[in-house]
Amino acid sequence: MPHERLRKFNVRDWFAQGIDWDGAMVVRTDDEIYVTGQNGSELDGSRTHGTGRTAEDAAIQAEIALRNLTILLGEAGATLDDICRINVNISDRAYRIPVYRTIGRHLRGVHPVSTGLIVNGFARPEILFTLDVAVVPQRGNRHTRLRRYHSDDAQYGFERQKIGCDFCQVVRAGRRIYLRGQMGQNLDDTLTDIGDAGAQAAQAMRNVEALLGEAGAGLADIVKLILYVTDRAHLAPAREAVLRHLGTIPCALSEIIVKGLASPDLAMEVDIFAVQS
Amino acid sequence: MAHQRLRKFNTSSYSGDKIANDMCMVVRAGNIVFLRGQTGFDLDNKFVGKGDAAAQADQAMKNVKVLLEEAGAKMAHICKITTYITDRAYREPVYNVVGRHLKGVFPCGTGLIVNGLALPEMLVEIDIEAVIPADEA
Repeated sequence: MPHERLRKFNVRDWFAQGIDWDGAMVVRTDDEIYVTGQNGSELDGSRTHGTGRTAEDAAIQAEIALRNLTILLGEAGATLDDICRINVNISDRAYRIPVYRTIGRHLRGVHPVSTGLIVNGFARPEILFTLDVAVVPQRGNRHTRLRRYHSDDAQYGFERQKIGCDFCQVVRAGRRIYLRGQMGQNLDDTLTDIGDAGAQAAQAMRNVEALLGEAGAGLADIVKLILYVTDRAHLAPAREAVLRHLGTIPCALSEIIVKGLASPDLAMEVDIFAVQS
Repeated sequence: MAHQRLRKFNTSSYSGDKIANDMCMVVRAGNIVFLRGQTGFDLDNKFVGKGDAAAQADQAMKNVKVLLEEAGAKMAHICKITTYITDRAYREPVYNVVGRHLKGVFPCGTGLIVNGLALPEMLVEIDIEAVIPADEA
């Protein structure tokens, strides 16, 4: 059976873009639900909300994105409670608190893992943030969510941030394992080796190994990594530390230089894709 | 079953990394296929389309097709595509090229404009996740 593809669209039909690109809002496979990155635009492309480029506009866009996501998951037979991982991409650090507080209100009690990037932009200049989710419908068996925490009790670099989200460090959903984007903080939230991307990456990979172990998996179950760094100079040392820790396990690696991470103190973050073999 | 890890290589060939641990281009874990982010580098490690984001995107999507097929999948199985570009000006040319390769597939997509990719000459990178339907596996 081919995958179900819901709410198909072509980009040329939206916002006067000269782009012939077939997409779908949702793809449903036997086990998972994939979703197009959600922002402050209506699902039918009729308009974008919160176009003033202020923190308040970012919160308005987040509200629309979460409303859209609730609708899309419902149409695919899932709920917000099935979300395993969120990737929150914003274009300015000033949007972080309003965007996360909105997300946190909608995902109260869900405890997904999370990765947050600051990037330069999205499909159109008026878009201030994009939310990606990884979703596995729970069929009787609840996902295992380990090391749950509330963001306001956590450390981001050397800061505390009142972003109001229930998160966790690891989600196990069937054979798939999702980890919080790992950084140079150890699992007790201590940031060491500030500024040294290699040392931060080595700590991140120690966390990855520990968290996979707690979820009943191991490094050999890693299939893909996305390594984010905040400066090109950080790339080689971070990559070397990641590869050294993986040892003889060849993985698919993507490497991206971003404008920022959760805190200015952080030089790198790594997203892990793992499937228990 | 152990994951299949295809087209292993090491980064020392292009990055000057001091270690030479293998990476790979594609991993198949059960029915899920994960690709390394694809760029203007062809699968023989030759860079195509210097200064031309559309040509780099075309090469990346040619790689995607080859890699998916080597893992027993095909373009129609693509579920999610994340497109990274380094300048907004590249969006229209890149998306039209990618859209041509994905005509009729209808994946979910996310697009980000980022500060940079692994090498300064890379203007676009494409991340793909595909799932082989149970009855085609």
